[in-house]
Amino acid sequence: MKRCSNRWAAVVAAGALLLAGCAGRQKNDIDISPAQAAQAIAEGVEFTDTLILAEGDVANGYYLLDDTVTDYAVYISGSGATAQEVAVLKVADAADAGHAEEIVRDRLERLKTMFENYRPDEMAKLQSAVVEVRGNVVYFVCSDDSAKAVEIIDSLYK
Amino acid sequence: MTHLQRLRFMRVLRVKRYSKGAVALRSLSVLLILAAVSFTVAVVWHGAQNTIPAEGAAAPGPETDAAGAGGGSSLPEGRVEASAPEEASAGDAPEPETPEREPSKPAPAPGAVPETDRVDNSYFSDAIFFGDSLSTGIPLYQVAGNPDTVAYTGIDPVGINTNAVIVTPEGMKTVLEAAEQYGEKKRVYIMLGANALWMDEESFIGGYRDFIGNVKAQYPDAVIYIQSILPVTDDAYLTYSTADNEVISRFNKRLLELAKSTGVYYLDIAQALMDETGALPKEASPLDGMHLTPEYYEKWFDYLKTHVVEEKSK
Repeated sequence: MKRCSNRWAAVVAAGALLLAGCAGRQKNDIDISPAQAAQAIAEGVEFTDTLILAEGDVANGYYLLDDTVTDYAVYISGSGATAQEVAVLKVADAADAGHAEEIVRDRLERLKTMFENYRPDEMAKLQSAVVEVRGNVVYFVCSDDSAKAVEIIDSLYK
Repeated sequence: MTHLQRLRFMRVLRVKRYSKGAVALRSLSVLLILAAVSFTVAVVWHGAQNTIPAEGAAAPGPETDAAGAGGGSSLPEGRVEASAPEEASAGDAPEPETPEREPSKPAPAPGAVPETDRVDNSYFSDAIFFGDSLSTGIPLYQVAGNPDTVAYTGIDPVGINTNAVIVTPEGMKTVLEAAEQYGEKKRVYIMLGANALWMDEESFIGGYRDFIGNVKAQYPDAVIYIQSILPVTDDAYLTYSTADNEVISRFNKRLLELAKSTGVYYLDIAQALMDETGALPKEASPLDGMHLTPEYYEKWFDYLKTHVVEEKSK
């Protein structure tokens, strides 16, 4: 009897999540400000390193951004010694989001190459890093708390 | 005089010796002797103080013939020939025993670029910085007007020569290949070694020497500075098992020798950042004991601004 009620609870929870997911997806066309979104993540997730907003050409140097990316905000490890990072890239058309995602995944691979020998203890963060595409915005968060990062990203679309 | 009379006489003498007047006279004599000794000690102490360089003093002044080299200096302006202070004072009267003092900050390495008039950020406008993760903070914190910097986390003096680690629109490049985009430079600053503390010294120096050669080939008219490896905090080994200030100090001595043998300039930044124990203060690197806070980047560049040379090394 108890097992049966647990099953019903799981079904109800899954339904709720599905509805929430649909609702979230429907709101992906919200106009997101990369600066505000990246700041919300940088401040909302607990990072052990100090994250610094990369200004000028610094972000471009790390990500090799091109004209497809119309707006962005990148926070980099202030020490240079950890892989902790936040990036929010925005493209004009959601159809180009795949290209922005590729830019982010390339950066992720380079970070893995950089840290696999230098600081192997950072690899767990990189393996569980968040790469999320929401409409015309791509998110990258490398931290100890990916669940919290996703929670904050979700909250931007509510 | 009978034996009894002699004994009495001696007793009288003894009483006289310890009479009040005699005691006072004796005490006065002792005081005078003590005063004389104290004066002598004070004079010796004062002399000793004048021979100890002031805390944080710059490297010794212009070279002298004290080491017996003789002739004029062939070193460029601002460069100081390496000669240990104790060698310079050889032949002088032996110094008095130095009284125990509070620990003070170690003096800069003799032979390092000495303190000069301060320059402003424009000095770095035609400079380029090469290095590891410590140098990645220069553009990130926009230090000193954000000079051109090509740096890569984890790079060491051997790998920097050949490893294509810098991402560019044309593909992955070595540090020097990637630097070509910035054109000619008048000044080159190099800081490497924090990732090489595990290496044997010959591999470390060999790689560094190769890099200096490659930099000279790419920037034949530039003044080239090599910066000391920075000290670490006492607990840095918890994050970096090879982080050890004794090893760093040993490697830095080899870097100073390398600078002299290759005709480039050595900057003893370590001396400017370390505390009186020779370690990096905890406040300078609360994260991991090695990487600096923005405040310490400012200290680093304050040192660079007050330790410059204007002529290219021959």
